[in-house]
Amino acid sequence: MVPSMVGHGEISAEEYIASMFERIERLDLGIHAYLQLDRGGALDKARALDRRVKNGGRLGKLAGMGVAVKDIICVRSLQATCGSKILEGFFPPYSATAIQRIEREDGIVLGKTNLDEFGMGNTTQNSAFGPTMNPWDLSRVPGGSSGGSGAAVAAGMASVALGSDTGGSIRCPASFCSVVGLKPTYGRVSRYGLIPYANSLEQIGPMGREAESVWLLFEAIAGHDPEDATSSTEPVRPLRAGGVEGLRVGRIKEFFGEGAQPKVKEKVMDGCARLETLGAKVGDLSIASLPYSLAVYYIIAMAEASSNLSRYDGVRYGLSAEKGTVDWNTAFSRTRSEGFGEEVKRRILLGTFVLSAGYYEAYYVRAQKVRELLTREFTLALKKFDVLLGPTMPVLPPKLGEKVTPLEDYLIDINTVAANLTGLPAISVPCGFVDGLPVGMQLIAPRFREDVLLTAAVAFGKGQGLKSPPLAEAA
Amino acid sequence: MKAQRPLSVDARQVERLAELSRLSLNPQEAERLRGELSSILEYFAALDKVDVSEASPAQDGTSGGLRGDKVRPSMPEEILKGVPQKKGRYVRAPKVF
Amino acid sequence: MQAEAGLRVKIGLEVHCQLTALKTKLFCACSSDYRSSEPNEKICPVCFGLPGTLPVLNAKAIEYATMIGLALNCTVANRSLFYRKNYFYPDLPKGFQISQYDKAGGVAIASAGSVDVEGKSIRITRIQLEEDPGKLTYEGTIDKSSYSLVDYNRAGIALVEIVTEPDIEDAREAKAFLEKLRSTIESLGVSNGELDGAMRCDANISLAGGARVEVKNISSFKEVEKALNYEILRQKTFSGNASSETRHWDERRSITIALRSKEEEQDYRYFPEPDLRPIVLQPETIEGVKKTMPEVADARASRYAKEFGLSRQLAKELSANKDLSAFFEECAKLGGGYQEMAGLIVGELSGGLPAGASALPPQEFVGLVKMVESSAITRAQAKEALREALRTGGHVGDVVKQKNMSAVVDERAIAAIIDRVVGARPGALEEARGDKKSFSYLVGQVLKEEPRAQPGVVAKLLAKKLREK
Repeated sequence: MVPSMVGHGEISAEEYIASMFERIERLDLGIHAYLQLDRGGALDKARALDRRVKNGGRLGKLAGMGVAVKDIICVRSLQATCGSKILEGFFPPYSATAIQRIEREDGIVLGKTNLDEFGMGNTTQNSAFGPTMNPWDLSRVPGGSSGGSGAAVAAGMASVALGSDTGGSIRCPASFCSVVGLKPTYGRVSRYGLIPYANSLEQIGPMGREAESVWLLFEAIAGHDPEDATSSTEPVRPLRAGGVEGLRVGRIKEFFGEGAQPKVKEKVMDGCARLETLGAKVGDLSIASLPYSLAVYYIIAMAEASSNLSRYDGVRYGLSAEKGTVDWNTAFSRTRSEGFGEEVKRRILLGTFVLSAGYYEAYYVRAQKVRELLTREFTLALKKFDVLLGPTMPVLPPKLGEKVTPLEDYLIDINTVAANLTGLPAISVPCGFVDGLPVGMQLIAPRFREDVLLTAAVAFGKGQGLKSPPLAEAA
Repeated sequence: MKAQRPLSVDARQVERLAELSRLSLNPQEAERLRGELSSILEYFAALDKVDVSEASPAQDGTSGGLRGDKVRPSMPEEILKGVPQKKGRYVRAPKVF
Repeated sequence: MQAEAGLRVKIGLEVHCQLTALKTKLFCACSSDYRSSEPNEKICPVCFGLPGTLPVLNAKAIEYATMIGLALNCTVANRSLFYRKNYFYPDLPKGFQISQYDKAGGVAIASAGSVDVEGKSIRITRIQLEEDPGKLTYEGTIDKSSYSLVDYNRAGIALVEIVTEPDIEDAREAKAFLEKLRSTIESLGVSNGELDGAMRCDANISLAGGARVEVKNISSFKEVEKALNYEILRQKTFSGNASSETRHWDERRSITIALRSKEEEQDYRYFPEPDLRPIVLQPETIEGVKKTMPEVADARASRYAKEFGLSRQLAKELSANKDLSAFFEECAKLGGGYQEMAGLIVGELSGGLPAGASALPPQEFVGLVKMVESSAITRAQAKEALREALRTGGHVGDVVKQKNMSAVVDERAIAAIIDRVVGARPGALEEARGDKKSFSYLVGQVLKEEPRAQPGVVAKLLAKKLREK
């Protein structure tokens, strides 16, 4: 991998990073993964790194790796947009803890990637700056909301990437772009510097073409942070030497339900069989409250979102639509109506509704109770199995611009939201292709057992050969 | 107490939600959202079927995540640089009366 | 006011008290010392509400709120929560205030307490931790300014909100309650109520049978009495027709004004703050705070009565003054005669202890008390010596010697004076036999003749004389 190559002087970090920017220049016009590049800053850091290699200085574990960052994570003095007009002109004066840790390990931030506005979506079409295209088929979506990060690593426009996952936003694009994407255990990675969509559900996580580089990035960003009261002190365990030998894998029946496309289900069943040949023991199980997880997820996520997005009022930062002298209510409404996109408005209104007087008990409180039942069921299931398995996305990547109702759009998150509601770590690994389009397999492990997920991902990826999108190969 | 769950929202409710959220909606937008919100709320009603009598919040037994009462330097200048409208060192906001 | 006797007034207060002893804000490490700062000088990404920042709770704030809870005789919760109170306003950086709450599943850090005010118990509903918003100002006057100016230095300052039951019956009682509350909180060393805006108050007022009216924006305790008197008078004038509403105290014009109905229709959409963990206080932790926190006057008074056998009245007077209490406890370590000691301290030193550590060493003062106790000198002499020593800066013991003070213990000499006093007042002896007052009068007369006589000895001899006859 890159760090050892840089460390051994096989390549210079500057050459490597420069070649990555050249690649971006050639490919990203058609893909639109990046919203903003930091070529100057990145090359400066690469050169500094090369000087250190020459002088025999200490090198970090990510030395020379080019990191694409979802534009919902703050990087000091790079604009943060969240894919929204409302943050116009916002340059955070601080970096997220995850970014500080990456830079401490000599990873190099290349730029900020496209996303659904504030992370609300699964196609990256809800970006105020236009959609991102799937590198495997430019007429299709890359998934979302971390679609820019997924597309960037799939097309080799970054060594690895950071995404954030509130209801599947790392795993969905990982699945649609045929890369590895990990949503860590809730509390594993500091959320400081992650602009919130739904605080109780989301985590920053790594994405990459190989499981090994995903693990490397994960180890760098994981760990307790005093700036995040919900972050955990639980230590990260090393990968298992024995691979998946004896690993108890539980297939969740509901993940293979009616809503899933048959060819997708078949591919994931094949993947399961492959795990078996590698020594895993596969069984089946059912999680009775899973069919309710989507309703629970959307109620809680929208409630938290409606509150999180209240701070965008045009007074302190970002867009200020009203320069005149109208009263504050009118001014706030104008800025917010002009700055937020359609999906964000929809979720603010629904979130406001489920929290409002008279409805709070029926929606928010009830959703929290069902969330507890779901968590209990998963905890029990993970006593019988080491990992739980199913398709990440029940469908293949949809066409760009396909007309669906908001509710239909929400329904494809059915397999991913449970890991966020329960706080469990989950990963999506590439699991073959159907009609040339990627399929992802999802694994879920007990709290703080990302090591189990990555052990399985490494074993599963071995000997598969890394496929690249045709367009990227030509480049 | 039996949860009272409306399956749809009317125009007046949408208006009230928009007001609470400081969003101004034009009539077409409001009508479209009324329909969308209603169908989503109908979907949420599935939760009525779940027996939640057994659910009790898993109680976090430790507080943790606390901070000592130690001053760190503030960073006013960098923050003020990003403020859209200022008057001297004050942040300029719309009038409240 | 006789005609209105039927209209019983019920007042409940919501007191906001900044924990000014904290060095930093409630959820970030910005300095809390903003009063002398330039506008927007004490701000950081957290308290300014920049997106992506997270609140981290100040551990000391938990301790201080616990102390207040204990001092106000509350039950301190083993597990309490923070909620978000959602509303928009230009001075509110996040579009919500992080606050504790006692509904919708919320639990405040302390609840169900009481404060004794002039012999009456005012019940405390709850005490909760929350953050202060920023501050709005205007160029020129509010009504003429076309925009407002915001200073976020105050945003995020730690507050406790103290909510009472509607147990207060008039403005004077409200003021007495607030003064008691302030001195209690100050004696804990967690807040300085003297600082501008450190203690603010909202009130709800209802007349018997009438609606509950909330009066907000009372910026200091001085204004409370004025605001309440105005509002009570206003409601009485409307003879019970006051409607349930929120009114604003206009300090400048000294009237309350109704807020527009739109601003009243608030729906705060409270829900648990997902970025903070619950405040968990083990019983041992609460017990530990109780043991180490500065003692509040009321608790000190009962301890003095119990531990030193002081009379209830004297214990109360002594413990009301923190400095005198401390001096008493220093002296008490050196020896007995506690009632005498406390009496002399309250009687002679209430004007303030002499400045300088050596001005009145406890040993010297205790020596004086012991002289009185052993009847070497009288209490009157002790007082005189003390005054003289404080005036001249001399030693008490020296004054006693110089002035040749000593109690007359020669019982025969005293008996002679008694005979003289009684002889000059025919019938006085008869009266004194059945009446305590007349008896004390005679003792007083004897002491007047001979100030050095011990009152106890005089009384003993006079009683003997009564029995003889």
